Amino acid sequence: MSGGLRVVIVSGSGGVLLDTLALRPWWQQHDTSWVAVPAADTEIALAGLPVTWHPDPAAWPHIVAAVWRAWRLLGRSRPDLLVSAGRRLTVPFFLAARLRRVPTVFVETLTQTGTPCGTARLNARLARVVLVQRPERVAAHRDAVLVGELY
Amino acid sequence: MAGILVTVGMGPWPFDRLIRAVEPLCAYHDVFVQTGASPVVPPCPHARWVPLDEMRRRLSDADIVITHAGGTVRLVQRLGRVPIVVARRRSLAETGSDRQERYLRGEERTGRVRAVWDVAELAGAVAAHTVFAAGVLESRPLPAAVSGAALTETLDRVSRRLLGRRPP
Repeated sequence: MSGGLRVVIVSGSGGVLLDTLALRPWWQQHDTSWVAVPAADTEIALAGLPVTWHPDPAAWPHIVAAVWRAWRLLGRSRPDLLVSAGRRLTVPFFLAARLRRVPTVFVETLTQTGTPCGTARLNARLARVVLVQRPERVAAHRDAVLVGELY
Repeated sequence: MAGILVTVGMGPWPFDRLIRAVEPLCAYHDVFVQTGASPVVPPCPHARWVPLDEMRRRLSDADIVITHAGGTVRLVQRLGRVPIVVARRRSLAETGSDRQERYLRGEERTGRVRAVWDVAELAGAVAAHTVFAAGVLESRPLPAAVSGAALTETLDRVSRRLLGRRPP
C-alpha cells in the first residue's frame, strides 16, 4: 500500500517522538501530517513537516474540550488512519477518531514490559490495532501486531 | 576524567534523586546534565531540554551515559555502548507507573546495561564502568532493530486490514 493514504500522527516528546519518527520509512510514503506537543525535541525534529501544535490536555475535566478540538481537526484533515505512540494528547484524538470512524494504530513503547497503566492502558484499549516491539507483548492486547524493535 | 552525559528524558516528571546523585561527579569528570522538569541545578553544565539531534550527538560523544530507564537506553546500546541506568520509581513520585523499574529489571537480567538501584552506588558504577561494559558487550547480544522494508510491509498489511483495501 505505497502512497495514497492520508495519515495523521499524534506525538508527544521523548520516547514517543522516537517511536513515531522511527516509522518514517512507512509514513514518508503517504500524505502524512502531525499533531504534536510543542517541546524542545518535537519542534526541531518535526521542523518542515506539516504540524498542528497542540499542548497536552491540562487535566481530565478538559478532556471534553480536547475531544471537540480533535474532532474538528480530524474533520478538516479527513485522515484514513490515525497513528500514535501515546501520552495524554493521544486520548482525545483516539476518542475523536472513534466518533469519526477513523481506524487507529497505537505504537507500544519498547520499555513497556508489564501491564500498562494510565494513558498507555487507555490508548491501547481505544486503538483498533496495537503495534508491539517484542514477541511476548502480542498476547498483552486484544489485537496486537508484532512490528519489531523500532530503533 | 571521563565525559559523562546524564539525561532524565523529556517527560513532565522531575527526577531530583538522580540529578543530586551526579553532583559529586562534577568535581572529577566532564559532566553535562539534561535536567528535564527537575528544579535541581547541578554544579556543572546543564540544560533542561535538549533537541533530539543535539542529544544524539551528545550520546555519541560521551564516554559514559547515565540515563533514566527510557528510550535513551536503546539509543546508547545501538551506539555499541553500555548505559548506566537508574529507574524512576513510582513510590518516590518520579513517574506515574512502574514501567521503568520493570523494564530495567528485564534489561539487567539479559541486556547491555549497568543497573543502579541505589544512587549512592553511582560513583562506584562510573569508576568500574569500563571493565563492566567490556564484559557485558562480549557476553550479551543486542536484538536487531526492524529494517525499513520489514517495517513498511507490516504497516502496509495493518493498513490494508483496517481499511479493507487491496494492495496496488
